[in-house]
Amino acid sequence: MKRSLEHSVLPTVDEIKLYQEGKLSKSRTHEIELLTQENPMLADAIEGYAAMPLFGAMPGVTAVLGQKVVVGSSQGAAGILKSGVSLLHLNSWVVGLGVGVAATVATVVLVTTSDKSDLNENEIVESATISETDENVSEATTNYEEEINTQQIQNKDQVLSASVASEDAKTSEESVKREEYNIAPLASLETSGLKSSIADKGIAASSAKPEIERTPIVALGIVPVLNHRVVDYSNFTKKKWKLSDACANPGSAQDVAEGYSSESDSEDYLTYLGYIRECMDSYNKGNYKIAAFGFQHILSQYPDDLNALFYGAMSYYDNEQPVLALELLNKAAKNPISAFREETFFYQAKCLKMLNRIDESNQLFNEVIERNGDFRDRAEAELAD
Amino acid sequence: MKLTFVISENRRLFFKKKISQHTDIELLEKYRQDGKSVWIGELYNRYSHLVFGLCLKYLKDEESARDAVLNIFEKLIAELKSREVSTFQHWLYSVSKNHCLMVLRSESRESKRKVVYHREVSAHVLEEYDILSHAQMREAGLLRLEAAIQKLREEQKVCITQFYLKERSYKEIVESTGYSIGEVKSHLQNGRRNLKLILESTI
Repeated sequence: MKRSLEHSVLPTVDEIKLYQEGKLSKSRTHEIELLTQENPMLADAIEGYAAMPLFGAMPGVTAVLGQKVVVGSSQGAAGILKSGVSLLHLNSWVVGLGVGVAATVATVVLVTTSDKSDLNENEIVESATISETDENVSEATTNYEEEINTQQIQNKDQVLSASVASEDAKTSEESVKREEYNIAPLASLETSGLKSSIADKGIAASSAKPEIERTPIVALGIVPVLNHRVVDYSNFTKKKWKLSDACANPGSAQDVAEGYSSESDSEDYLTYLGYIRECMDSYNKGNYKIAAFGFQHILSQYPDDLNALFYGAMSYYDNEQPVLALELLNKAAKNPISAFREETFFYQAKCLKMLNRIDESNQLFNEVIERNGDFRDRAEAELAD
Repeated sequence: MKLTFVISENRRLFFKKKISQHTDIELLEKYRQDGKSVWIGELYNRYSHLVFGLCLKYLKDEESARDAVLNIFEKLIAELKSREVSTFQHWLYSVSKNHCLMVLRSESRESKRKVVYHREVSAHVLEEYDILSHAQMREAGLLRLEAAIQKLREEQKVCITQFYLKERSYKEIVESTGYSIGEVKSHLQNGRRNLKLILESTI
């Protein structure tokens, strides 16, 4: 039944993530790739997610879609709209919550969120059948097999064990979600009347909060720093970075290196982004050596820092040191975060060209052209030279 | 008595179609009939993650993508009341893409983004009309198709054969041929276009 719905074959957010990590089954991987050939929206979406610095940056998604609640059904995986329309997912919530009384009352709960007449006709009973819940879960697992995040299966257990309390009709999910993520309400949807229409109808659903299994969310954003895009690792690095006075007047390499020390007795500390800003400032002013030292200092502690890898490479490149630049670019190209992937390939090609490795260089320029991004024209120009 | 009432009501509920079981067209029809946002909400649940990904691709910024998704679905709420849409996914794709491109234009991004816009528009048009679809490949008949595939360039032949006939993934094709993933996609796209031309010329 599910397969006959046109949207049911589309991958969920979880599946897209697994696909990009290469963890989906071969058959489902191929199926998704077939779908991308026919479905341009899916193709663009996968490309868009791939360009995110770290795929797990779900707060962006959750802020739009509402709390991502994995409740053991494929419906949960699509995301749940937080404000007015959030109650639409109550089907699964109410079903789950009603399992506690399912042993005594074998009924099916349907929540129609906006139809008052339906409410009158269909007395909502806080109960559900275990079989229906199982059906939802087994349906999901049958369709997408073992590659679907096992969290969904675990969440099924949580939902089954949720108890039903006798509460009033108003759900407090929204406030729970907002508290958790400090996200402002979706004002536009409120003004469209979705939220109020549902609240007014007084949905007779249990407001007992089920245990919400939240997938771990890693928030990495791309922020502008002095007109350059930078991955914001603030939450994952040391909090205090020190730029000593030595860097203002660059002396010996030793002084410069020490100037970027992250350990200092001084009270003047920089945040990670502040430190990056200082390095970028040196780069913008043409002080490539200083910038390179600064980025190398980051790499000495965080060897996978993409900002340090890429902009450190650029510092070496602009300082006409293609070998050192290439070393960092090669690491950047393998970094799981793909934020600078296209420019990395482009500058790898440029460095190889400088080193007279023309064949390898041309191959990379072609790769850039294939990607059809912002560097395509420049890559074509380089090939034409 | 009450139990009977509950059971009888639930018997009716039991057979009532769940909102998630409606097709897109049915949801649109219901929305046009009664204007209840619950139908649009279901469509939102189905496609919002794809719209968000699409907005990420064009706007390259999470905040802007988030805003764009909201704006797009607000548009849906207004437009779908009166508009008849036969293929919701395609229509949603057009609306979303146009919205993103409008945002890019209105924010006066750097000129290279306009190049991206033109390139994307023309590429999209090319994809829509000039490339053999899967359905057309099935209709072409296996023998004709195999004969046509033999006429392709070597790299296109290899990729088409491995992807469509042997049902391998991009990654597997990359590993077995040594092509980059961009080259594989390019060969598949060009191969399908050429297959269409070959099949049309042999009719």
